[in-house]
Amino acid sequence: MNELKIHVERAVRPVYAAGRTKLRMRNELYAHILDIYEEELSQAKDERAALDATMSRFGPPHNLTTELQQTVSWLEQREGMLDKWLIRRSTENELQHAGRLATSYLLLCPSVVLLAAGVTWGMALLGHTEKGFIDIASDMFRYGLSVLVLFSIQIFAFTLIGTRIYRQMERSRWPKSPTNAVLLSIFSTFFVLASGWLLHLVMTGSPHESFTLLFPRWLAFATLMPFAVIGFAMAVRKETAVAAPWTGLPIED
Amino acid sequence: MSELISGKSLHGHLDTMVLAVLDKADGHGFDVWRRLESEGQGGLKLKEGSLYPALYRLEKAGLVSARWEDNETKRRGPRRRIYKITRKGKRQLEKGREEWEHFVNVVGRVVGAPA
Repeated sequence: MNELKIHVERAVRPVYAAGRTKLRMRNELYAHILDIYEEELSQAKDERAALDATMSRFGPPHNLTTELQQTVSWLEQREGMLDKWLIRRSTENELQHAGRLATSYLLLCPSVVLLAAGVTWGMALLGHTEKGFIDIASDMFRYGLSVLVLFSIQIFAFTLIGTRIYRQMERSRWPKSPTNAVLLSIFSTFFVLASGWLLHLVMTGSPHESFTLLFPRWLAFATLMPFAVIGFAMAVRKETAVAAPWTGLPIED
Repeated sequence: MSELISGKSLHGHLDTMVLAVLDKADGHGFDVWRRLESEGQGGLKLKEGSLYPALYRLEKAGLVSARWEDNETKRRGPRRRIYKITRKGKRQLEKGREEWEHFVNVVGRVVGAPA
């Protein structure tokens, strides 16, 4: 009963809520609408008439969306918004998805740099630092720009790598998929190390200076990062797989 | 007086009505709906999807609890959730009944149609 599923999905998809909550809404509402349909079908002349009567009894999806949204807590609504922002949209390919996340960071970061500059200038005004305004501005510009560019590249690359790892795990054909996932995670370890070194180079202007001190921290971070990505992919895999019949329905986002 | 009572007039009373229905017996959404219709003797006009926001509100407030029905049921489609009124829900229902009685008495006297 794809038409009934779509009717339910039109109501639930726009709701800002956690995936588990939306899945519960979908299942419950679908169970109910199927019950209505069975009832209508036993009385109607044909399937079309039964479907129309069912949807009329159930109500328009947009009204239900508003009512359902009101039952979701403020915190869970934020979780839903973040999910919606992070997850690839049906109209995007992998590159566009990674590009959107990296661009969002690029747009958000200048405000963070400006905030940091404001705090530093404030400290300079209060006499807590010996640096002048020009020095502070120059430092902020250099650090800010390098963080902005390199982190954006990292976000772009990790989104692509993360999507690949997730896809490999989704197929779950042992041993090929896990092997690919591990290979991708090893690649991401080297990527983090290389970009960390590059960031260090931009900030200090020297490829060696104090990098030996930073190296163990970067290595630890770089080694743990892929496992975090794999762990996250495993955690969301089941939920995503269960929701797939719904999220794959052809309705506008 | 055969006019149906529609969504707007029901607003604010649906939660208490659902609690009243669940006070008699536990039930899933469709069951609750059928009992609402039967108790209202066909006088209620509400889109059935609207029942679920009410159930979620009540569950969030701890007035009802819910569990998924057993896997063994032979019906087709996804499993349903069975709702049950809690002690807090029973207290709330009592309060709702008193408020309703008070409302009907006061408004009834004013409009010249005492209960």
